[in-house]
Amino acid sequence: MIKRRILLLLLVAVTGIQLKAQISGFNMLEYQAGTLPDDTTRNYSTLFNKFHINYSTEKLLLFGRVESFFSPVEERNYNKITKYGLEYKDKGLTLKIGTINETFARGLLLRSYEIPSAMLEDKGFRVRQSFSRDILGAEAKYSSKHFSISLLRGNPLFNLLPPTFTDKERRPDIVEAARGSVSWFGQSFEVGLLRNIGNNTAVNYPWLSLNGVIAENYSYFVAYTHEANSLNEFSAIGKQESYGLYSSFGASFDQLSFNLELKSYNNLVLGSGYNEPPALIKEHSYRLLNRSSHVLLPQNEKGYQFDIFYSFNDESRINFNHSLAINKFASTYSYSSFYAEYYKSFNAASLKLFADYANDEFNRLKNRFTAGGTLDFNSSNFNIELQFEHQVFSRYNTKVGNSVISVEVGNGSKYSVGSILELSNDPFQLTDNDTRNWLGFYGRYKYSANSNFLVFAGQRRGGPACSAGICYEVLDFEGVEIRWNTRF
Amino acid sequence: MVILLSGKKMKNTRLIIALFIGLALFSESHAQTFVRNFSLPGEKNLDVQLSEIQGEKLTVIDFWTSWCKPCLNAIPEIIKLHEKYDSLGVAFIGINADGPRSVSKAMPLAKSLGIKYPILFDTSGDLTSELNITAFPTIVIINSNRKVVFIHEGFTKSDAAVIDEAISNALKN
Repeated sequence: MIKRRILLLLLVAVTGIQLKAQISGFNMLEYQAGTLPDDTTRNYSTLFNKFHINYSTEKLLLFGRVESFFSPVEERNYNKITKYGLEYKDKGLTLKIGTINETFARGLLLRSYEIPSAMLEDKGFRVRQSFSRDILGAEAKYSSKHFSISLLRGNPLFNLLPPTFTDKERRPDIVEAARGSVSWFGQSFEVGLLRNIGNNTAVNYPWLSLNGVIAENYSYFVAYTHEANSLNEFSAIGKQESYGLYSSFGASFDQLSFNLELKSYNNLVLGSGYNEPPALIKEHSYRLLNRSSHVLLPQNEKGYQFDIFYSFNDESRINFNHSLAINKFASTYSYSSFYAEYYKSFNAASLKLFADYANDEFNRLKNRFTAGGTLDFNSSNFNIELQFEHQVFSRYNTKVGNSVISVEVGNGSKYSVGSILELSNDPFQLTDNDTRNWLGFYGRYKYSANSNFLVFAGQRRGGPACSAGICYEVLDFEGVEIRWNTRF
Repeated sequence: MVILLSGKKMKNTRLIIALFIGLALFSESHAQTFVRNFSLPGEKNLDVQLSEIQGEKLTVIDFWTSWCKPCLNAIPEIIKLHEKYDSLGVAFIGINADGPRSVSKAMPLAKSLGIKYPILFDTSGDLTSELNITAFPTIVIINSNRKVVFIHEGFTKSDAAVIDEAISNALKN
């Protein structure tokens, strides 16, 4: 009912054009014809569409989104309003009603997100959906230059269940939260309380955080939370079974910068898992490293990450990163990685080289060594990019190798065509042969500033992927995929 | 298309596809008009409004993240454009869209890259969502009325000249 009223309001707003008001939004249409390589379903094709519209004035924003999915299997299809709401801002006051985004204490307690280019599909449900986690509810916030308070109540989305499930099933938790912060001389202090109500029981998580900049070159952040269901437990710091501590310290000296982060989490899965504590593992854009990244286990994880970056006068740069994560369950598992990257820019070319050494006890990967690089040639009319990555490791005394080779030719950001070949002798990926390969071709054409076409044909290797700090599973795919993005 | 079946289902599916194509074409025929006066936390932990730092004539907004390699390649070129146009009424703003996982790296990284223009943090992704930013980097140029005059997604070296030309043309209008 509320959903319909908001959409009606949106419709009225859209038709009654006001001065300084605008309609904006986007549409994404995706067609897939193909199959999952290990799936027996053949000749399977799907159509997904996402239409999002905003109506905004200087103070008011109304929005709505419709997502649709069609496949040959009736039970998997849906046509649903997935986002809707309004936001009103005036003189420090912000009111939000509907599907809203909020993050508390760097995600220790709550994190909502949207990964616009990613699609979520589970092997069990085989339903494609856009990848986001929001909160259906309301939030009121007042902020001045040095002070802010906010109140929130809502149901976070459990996005592992696709839109074919009801809202009640997909939003099993109720979250209530209040927070306040003061900022002075570059230092900010925040306190808050989050209450989770699920299965008729409520649990409370108070938190505090300190965040600041010292002498312009040094920055720090500390956040701590633990479960506290009575007044006595509020001050029982370090004594509760469910807690989370995250801190970071950054510094820069001219062209040199470094960043150190520490984490200690225990039993920190809130509700259906709507929080996302920082992982403290470097997020890589290189395929093999991104796929084999350590995924945070908030049930128990301690560790740190250290990152150094240096930028030379000739625009070259180097980056070194070391991270360690320790998980204690029935046994203790550690993940450690050392990563180095060098980037050099020439007049009409650039070169990137990287090397990474890691050990991942949880996944039984020993001496995982990954190296590769990218060579880019540029002129005013075209650019060529060559990429190579190779990875070796040992698992249960078996030597495993993975490789990626890709080539792309394009004209700036206007259009590009390319091919990507992946090879692996990983027994987890093999059926009969000694090696397996995935060969895919793609094209990208941006025919206006607001629109582009993407075409993929061939085979795409799946596996874990991390984007914007969120890790998820990508399914293998074999076939043709066409995506048409338009923005207005 | 294989999902097209027969009879009534076929007709419905055609209608749906026609609707989707219609929506895409509708999107294609409309253009973003203006950017609202947003407010985001800045380097000193205080909220900064766009109106406080926007340029007298133009404002170039670079949406970037620390984990995006083309973003880091674009920044030295944007710094050069900042030096070229700073005194001509063109303001530059970097909007860092790192999530909680990597936002702590952003400020030290920005300093070591030599960014002198203001950096604001959209950690929750509210602004990038509102402006329908779907790729990084995205460079948006707005005029003094905050009307979008240019938008560019992605970055290769030859794009620096494209952005330079867009600023130059927008200054003439």
